[in-house]
Amino acid sequence: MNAVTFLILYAVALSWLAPALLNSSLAAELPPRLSVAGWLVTVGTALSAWMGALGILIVGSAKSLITNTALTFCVETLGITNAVLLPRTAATVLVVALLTVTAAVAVETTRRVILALGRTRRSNRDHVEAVQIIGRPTDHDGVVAVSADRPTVYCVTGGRRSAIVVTTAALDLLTPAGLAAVLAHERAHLRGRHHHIIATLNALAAALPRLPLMRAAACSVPPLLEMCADDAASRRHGRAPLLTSLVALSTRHRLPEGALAAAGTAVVERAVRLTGTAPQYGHRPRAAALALLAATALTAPTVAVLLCTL
Amino acid sequence: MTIRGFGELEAVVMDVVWARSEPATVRSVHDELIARRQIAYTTVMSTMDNLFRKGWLSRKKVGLAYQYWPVMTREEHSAQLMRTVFESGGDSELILNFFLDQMTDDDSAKLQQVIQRAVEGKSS
Repeated sequence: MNAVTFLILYAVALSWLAPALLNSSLAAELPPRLSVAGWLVTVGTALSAWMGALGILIVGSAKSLITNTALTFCVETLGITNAVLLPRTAATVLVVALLTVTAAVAVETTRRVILALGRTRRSNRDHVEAVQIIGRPTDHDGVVAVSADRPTVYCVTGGRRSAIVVTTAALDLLTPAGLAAVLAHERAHLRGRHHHIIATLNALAAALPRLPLMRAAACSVPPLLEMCADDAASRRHGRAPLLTSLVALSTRHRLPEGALAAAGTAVVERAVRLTGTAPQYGHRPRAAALALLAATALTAPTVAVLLCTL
Repeated sequence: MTIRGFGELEAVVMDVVWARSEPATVRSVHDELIARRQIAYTTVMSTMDNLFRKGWLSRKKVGLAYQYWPVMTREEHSAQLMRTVFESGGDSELILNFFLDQMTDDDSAKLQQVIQRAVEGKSS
């Protein structure tokens, strides 16, 4: 087996099998930051493996076309021994056609990802701009208040500008301590560039709908990022104010009275974590094992590319 | 008061225009701002021109100068902005909301249980 076959098999394995591993109960016990890292490393590695294999194929075929040895190349690249015997012209046409199709798919995918990211960026920039004009500045830095009768807090970033928006209803609903905790949560999103991560994953999932890994990552990472932000906020402000605000915003009532009507779907999971009923992260060896796995996943294709080019 | 960026200047100019009951000229807006901060007439002019291009202000030429007035009130803009936010639902590309989606009754019940347990746990 040579480098290209290895890379393709590796990319296929990552793209189809990794989601199951990353969504498994083993991964659920990990701190969300580590899980996010696991997802991102896997997505990055799978993409590099696909691109690496394609790159080697294109360079190799160009070389073999020039030296007029298309068939030999095709067979050698895939690591199969001389099993197929085709007339030279037919083989050349076949190789060129296959490579053209593959390269076209890759170029089209890249184009779609870039276009989608550009669209998101523009609409987010317009939103930040509107928010900064409409909103009234608050006592908190970078936080604007917008009048609305629905309580909500969110952050938005576009270009180099970003803003945290608090509706007037949310200002009325939240206690000062609760508001501070929620703002810490939003600042963690902005600091960690969570918008960019989500926008990139969504663009990849839309451009590569047939790869289960991309779909799964776009689905699983956003709730994990919410948990990362929860962790950052509760480290500074404690869990109680954040939990209180989470419930207040989700139910539009102060804790604990009132009917629980409308709220967020991932809210229960986050509430469970914040109340401390979920298992805490005492599994250092497991965390280390996953980190090691991630590192191996990353180095494998690099080694393969090196082997090939040397 | 310092100007921290072009975005802030746009907000300041819109505040002034929104506070007026009459259409505003660049001259009158500049006169009002110069009392509070160091600012060039041309800066105010280009800011208002930008706001016109971006659809925040309407304008009409009266004599030699343009008269500007807001396309919508601040409240109308707020309502429109919030509508897009709430309609986007789970569109987390646009905004990372503290929470937004609708919750099912099942989730509500679970959440209530969790909180109940936490409250009891703390009191015991």
